[in-house]
Amino acid sequence: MQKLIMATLLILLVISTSFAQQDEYTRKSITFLDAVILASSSSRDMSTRQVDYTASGVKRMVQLERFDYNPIPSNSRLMSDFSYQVRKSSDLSMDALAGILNKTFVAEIVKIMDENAENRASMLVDETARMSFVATKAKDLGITAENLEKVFNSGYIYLPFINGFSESTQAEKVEDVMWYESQVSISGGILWFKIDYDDGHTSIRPLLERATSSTGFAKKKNAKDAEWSAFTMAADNYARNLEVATKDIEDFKLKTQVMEVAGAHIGFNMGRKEGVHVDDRFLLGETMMDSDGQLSFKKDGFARVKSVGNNRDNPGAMSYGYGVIVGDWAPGMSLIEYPTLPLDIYGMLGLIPLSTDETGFDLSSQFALGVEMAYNLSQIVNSSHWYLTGGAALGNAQRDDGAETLYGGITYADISVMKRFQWRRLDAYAKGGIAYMGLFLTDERYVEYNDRTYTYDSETYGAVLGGGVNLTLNIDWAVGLRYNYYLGESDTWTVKDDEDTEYDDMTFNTNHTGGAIMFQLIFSPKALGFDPLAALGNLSE
Amino acid sequence: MTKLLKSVLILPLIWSSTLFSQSGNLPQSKEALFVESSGPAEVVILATGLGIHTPKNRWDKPDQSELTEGAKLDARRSAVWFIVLGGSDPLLTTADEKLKFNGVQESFFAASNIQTYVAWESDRFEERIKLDDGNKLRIKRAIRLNKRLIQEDLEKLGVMAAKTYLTAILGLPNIMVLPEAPKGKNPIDMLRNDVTYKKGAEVIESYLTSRRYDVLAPDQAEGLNELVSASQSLKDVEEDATYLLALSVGADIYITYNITTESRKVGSSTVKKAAVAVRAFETTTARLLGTETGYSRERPSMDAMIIEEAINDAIEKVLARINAYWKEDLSRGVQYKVIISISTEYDTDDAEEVLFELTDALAGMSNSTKEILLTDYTLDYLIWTNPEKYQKSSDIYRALKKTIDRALPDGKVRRVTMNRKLIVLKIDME
Repeated sequence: MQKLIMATLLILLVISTSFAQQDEYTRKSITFLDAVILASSSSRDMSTRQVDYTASGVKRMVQLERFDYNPIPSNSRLMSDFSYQVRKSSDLSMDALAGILNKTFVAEIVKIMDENAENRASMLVDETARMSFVATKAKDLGITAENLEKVFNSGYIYLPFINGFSESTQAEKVEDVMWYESQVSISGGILWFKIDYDDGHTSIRPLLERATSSTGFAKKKNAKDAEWSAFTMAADNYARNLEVATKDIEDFKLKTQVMEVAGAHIGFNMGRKEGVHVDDRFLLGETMMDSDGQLSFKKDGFARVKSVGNNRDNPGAMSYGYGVIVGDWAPGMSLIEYPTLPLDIYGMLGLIPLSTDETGFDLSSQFALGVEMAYNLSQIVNSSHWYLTGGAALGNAQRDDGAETLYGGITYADISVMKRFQWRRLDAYAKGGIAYMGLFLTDERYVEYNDRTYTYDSETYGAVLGGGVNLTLNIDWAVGLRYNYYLGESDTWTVKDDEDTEYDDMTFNTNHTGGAIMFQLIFSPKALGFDPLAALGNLSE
Repeated sequence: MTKLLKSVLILPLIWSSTLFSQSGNLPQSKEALFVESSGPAEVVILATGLGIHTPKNRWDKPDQSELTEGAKLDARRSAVWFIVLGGSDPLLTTADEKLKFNGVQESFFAASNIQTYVAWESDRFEERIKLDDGNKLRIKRAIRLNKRLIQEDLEKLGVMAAKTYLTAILGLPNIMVLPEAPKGKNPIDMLRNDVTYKKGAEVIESYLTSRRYDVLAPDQAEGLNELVSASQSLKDVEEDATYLLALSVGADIYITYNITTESRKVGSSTVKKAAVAVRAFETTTARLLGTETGYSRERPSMDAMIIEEAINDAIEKVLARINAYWKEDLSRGVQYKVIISISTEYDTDDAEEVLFELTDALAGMSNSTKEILLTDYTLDYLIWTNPEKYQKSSDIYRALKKTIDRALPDGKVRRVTMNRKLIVLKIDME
């Protein structure tokens, strides 16, 4: 009898597991509340405008195509009830908030989900069910109770919170003009709650918290402008970080199967409907079973998206990707999203050009360090590997006239458009743009005569053309070599002493034209403490 | 010595043929699960396929595409194997059929042949797992097979007795379909008054007709009483109207079914689930040939659809058992139920003498007989006759009449009922 029971249980287990489809992303339905939990005294110092801006920024970034939404009107009675209870509560822990949500929202959210349940459930009908008698002969949608329950169990609520806020502004008079420099820091995140549905009973439970922090800077002639610009820079970056953090939550990661493999190219059944974008990264891998029957996931390289299928209009449309680190791939392998910010950070070390036409003088630089941000434009141009780059390099400089040497530094900055061409781990790129080239030299030869140090500055704008090759080390890192050719020349130097007293300009040829060769290390981050490009815009006078 | 030599020669031959058959076209996994019968001709199977790489040395790594293609092919083979030989109701049921199949299985499971049976297969794998340090790949995928085509091919290959051959000798079984009626209830009334039962009968009849069975539809229950009164043996089953109806219309087999539906709410949607129990009986004996319960999935759909889904789940297996029964019965000949009752005006000795003569006559004209009931005045027999000798029930009636006339010259034989399955005679004193 025992054997019979065991056999029956085993058969049931086999049957029940046999239809458990491989891990596949299913759409989630998200409820967002137009509220921000101000969880610290410093965050309660924020103005209403700042709170609203942060909330709408987070909403905009976290409102991903992969989700369905159950909107709660911001001016509804429920919303004011909820806000009142949050204000009244001394405990703002996730458990306490889940309790308030259970009291205030759960019934309303279930009602909204219910209105769309069958429609959403129809999207969960799998390929086999779509080919079943029910769908083909009976012309039914093929929805099952299981699909409906999945819809009711795919509900999530998010609530942004801020638990740290600081802002400071400093005024400085430069050439009779008052400049205000502001710095704003925000820290906080999103609280995620899960809606559980079981046989007609619904409850909300705390799921997880994703936190980030962000800083903004601005320098303006108007104090309020400076404060607001610094704040918006911080808030925008904060929201962008939370977008990636949300995509990185296990429940929300896009997961599917590779449908086609042709060499290093793959095809898969996801696209615009799920918010797949050109150049998005996806890990590939497969499930392995060891001799003890234990299952594990083995990663086998990664691919980036080359073209996105429009599966909104054509449900069968596939997206295609190209392998960067190419494993031994075959159809049926798992594809898992690896979210990062749509930018790469380049760290550089090498040489930048500096010379002079002046006879008897030698002007040169021996080393330089640089940083560059490459913002991915592929979503805008709908073509892979287009970037807008902004970078700067700082190097040493020295002028030698055979007798004495002056030391200083050079600054190269450029904004360019870059196109990369990827072939598996290797990529080559070409770029072109405008460049700023600055040089300063410090002259301490007269200190012993007049106790003054003089500084000679030279600035010019020109062009930069370049190219390079990179080798991808892993999904986050790559190394490479770049060669940039700068075009720029200046014959004028401004002269100042250490008391900022300006003297007549000096004529001296400075030639920036030439090649810069640099070793580079490339990193694709998931979050940034601040947005360098926005900072550049906010701080440039 | 010669025997020893022969053995020495034969043994390697057997060994090499076994080895050949293992490494040939036969499926490796032989794992499959019946998902649904998506119509009278097609079934959906969730099949497991194995792609296997045997490393020649430690550096010999498997090629993923080869493993995947191998696993996909093995899944197709396993699905077809499941239809032909696996599961609880395979196409091949007799030892003779299986033996014949052994001779053709290599070519039958050839990739090009297997592909012809595949009507559709899922793009996605339900499961994909690497085993044995990556040297083995196991996949599961849904495959829709044309079962009818497989059966036709097996008939062409001579593995299964072709339907046409069966038809020529025995005819396909006549089947009657009625809802299971509780005691005292008339199944025909249930069929007329309840759309659910009507739908159930329609679905089952659709299956039967598409497979070219003769479906008998009883429209009226009159005359059953007379049938019952003709035989003592039927009195026990007097209340089973379905059985009596099947007997009265001459069905070889009758199918009964009952339908239950349950519903519950998921959100505001009402989801329903149907369970349909289908039972097939041999008409002459009311012997249960097969029973299966089919379930629909829980759906927010109309009743007719979930009922059809549940019947689809059950009927395929029941029909497989009917076929198995029919094939077995064919080997014995054409079956008839013969009921003869003698008027009680005769004394028991005379009646006994007639009955003895009749049993002798029945034994003489049949391949085999089975006694159901023998009382002083009633005989209830099952007989299996050679269809070449007795092509229809009237031939049997004629032979029996001659025997009775000879044994009881003062008796008058009256036909109470006679159809293709049942001969009920009454002998009255003139």
